[in-house]
Amino acid sequence: MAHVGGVRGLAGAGLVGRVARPNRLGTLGHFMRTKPLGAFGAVLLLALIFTAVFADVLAPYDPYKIHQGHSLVAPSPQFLMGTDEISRDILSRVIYGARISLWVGIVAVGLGTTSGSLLGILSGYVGGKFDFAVQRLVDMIMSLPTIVMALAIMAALGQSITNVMIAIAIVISPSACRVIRGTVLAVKEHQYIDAARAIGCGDLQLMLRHVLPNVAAPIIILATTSLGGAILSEASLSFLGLGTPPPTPSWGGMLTSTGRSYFEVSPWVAVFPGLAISLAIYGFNLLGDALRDVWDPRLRGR
Amino acid sequence: MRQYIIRRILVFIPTILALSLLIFALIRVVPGDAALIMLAESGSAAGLPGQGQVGFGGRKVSNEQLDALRAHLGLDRPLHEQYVTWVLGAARLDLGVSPWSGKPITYEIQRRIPVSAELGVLAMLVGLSIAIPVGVISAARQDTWMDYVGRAVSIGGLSVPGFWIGTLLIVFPSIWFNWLPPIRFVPFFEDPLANLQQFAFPALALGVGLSASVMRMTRSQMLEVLRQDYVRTARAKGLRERVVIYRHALKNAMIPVITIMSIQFGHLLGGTVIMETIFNLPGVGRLTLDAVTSRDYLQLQGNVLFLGTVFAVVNLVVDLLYAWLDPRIRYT
Repeated sequence: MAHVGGVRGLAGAGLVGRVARPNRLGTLGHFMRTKPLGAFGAVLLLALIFTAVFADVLAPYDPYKIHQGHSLVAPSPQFLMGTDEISRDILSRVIYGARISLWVGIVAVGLGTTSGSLLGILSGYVGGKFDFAVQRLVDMIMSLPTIVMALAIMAALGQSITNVMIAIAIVISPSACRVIRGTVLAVKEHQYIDAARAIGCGDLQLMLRHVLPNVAAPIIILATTSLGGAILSEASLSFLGLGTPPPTPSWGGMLTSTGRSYFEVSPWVAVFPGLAISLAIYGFNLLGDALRDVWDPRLRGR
Repeated sequence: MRQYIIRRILVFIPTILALSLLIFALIRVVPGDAALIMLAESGSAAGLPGQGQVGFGGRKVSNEQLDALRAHLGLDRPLHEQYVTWVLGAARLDLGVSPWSGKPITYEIQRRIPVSAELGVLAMLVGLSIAIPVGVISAARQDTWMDYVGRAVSIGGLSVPGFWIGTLLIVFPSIWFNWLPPIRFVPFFEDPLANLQQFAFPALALGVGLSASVMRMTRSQMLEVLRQDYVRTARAKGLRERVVIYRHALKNAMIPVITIMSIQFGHLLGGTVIMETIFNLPGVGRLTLDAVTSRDYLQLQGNVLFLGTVFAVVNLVVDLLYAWLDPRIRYT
């Protein structure tokens, strides 16, 4: 145990030496100065989270409310982003859509990275035949292109928000499993693992107390970068009519084929939800890139 | 080299078998009776006789129809038998007959391959012709405004969903130029010009998405290669910068780019589903989505197996290409 503390203490000391710990604002300022694009991404994401959390307050109308006699109204002071073909306020739907996107994204990524990481830790730690079997399972899932895989899962499970989350989680988990397994294999060779074992640590304790904290950084990076992809997958599935079922406001669903015949006369129906998706994913990509550079130089440029 | 090829091909066969098992299991996960869902949600199957009604979801389905469909799908036989029959059939390129269209599944796939292949090739061309020049310039002029613009745009390209670009490419030309994509599909050999017109926008929408990650890879590889000693030697010899970059650096930077392209091929396959749907192109992707919406599980199962196999073959070819280009791979 003392060894573990020592190693972590050293790593901590290295960090403290570079960026003084009490000065959190200074660290933030440093990040903003060296990674302006990353900071911009963080701002976009904060805006997204803010919108999702305060959707009830921010949205001018109920996203399901049908404004009789106001179908396909162009953007105006009354309806800032216009209305759709069944007379619902697009701005309100875009705002509530942030909630759905973020919710689906967070649950799916949480589920996918947690299960993938746990399996990865187990696979890397136990090794042998178990590792071989798990890795072949991972190969199997990865042998299908993501959208095709998600499509097949949705076809099998049926259309619902829960199933979208499950489908995306299944698609995400293999890469988490693979990356974490690789890291565990490296961590396993360290002396502090031998030391912990020597003082009588059990396997479970070793994995959870000593291996897990040391693979936490790649897990966090993976989760951040997967979130953007998960939101995009939800939007794509909903766009294809297999994701979040209507009338729930989902960005991808708002662009789906049912409204398509109206796009030529009322382009705002198509423009705003797509803009919202793009900005959200842009934010995740910018921040993910910057975090990767700061935390894990080995992954840089990949 | 020969040993490597043999080893790699030996890995390929279990991969395909595992894939088939996964797909088979996935389709069997359908909660409830697949045949009942198929009939209830899609109306009666063509050519399957029957009377006597079973109620499901408001629609009446006859018992005979249900039995006929179950027998047709092989659902009345034990699981392992179903799987073996399916896989052995697949090996002979016989995936059964779609209960909906009444045509062989391989025939349905086969006649749509040219459309998807053309879309894929054109998208790849669009993607590469954007990605490689921009990546090279971005690396050669690192940290200048050109580099920043190139990088910002490439992250942008990664962020904008293909289906949105595709939708906008239909909406705005129609508003501005009164141009609408033709409703009827024209094969290339019938009228090449009309055909290319039809493919231009979907290929563009798909290619832009592909270009982003290829551009990033090209840039980072070029940066790495440009720092190598032999590049310095080339410069010291007095070669022009253009020659150094294109003849000496780019060639070696391209090897990892090939790998990223094989990963991108998966996105390309997924992208064809979306683009073929938006632009009304009768390709394999569209067929797959239609199989999902019409609950044609047999067709879906066949299509997914086909797409997965194509993906696996591309990965195999890329691996072999990679080994051929970079001798270090063969010996590890």
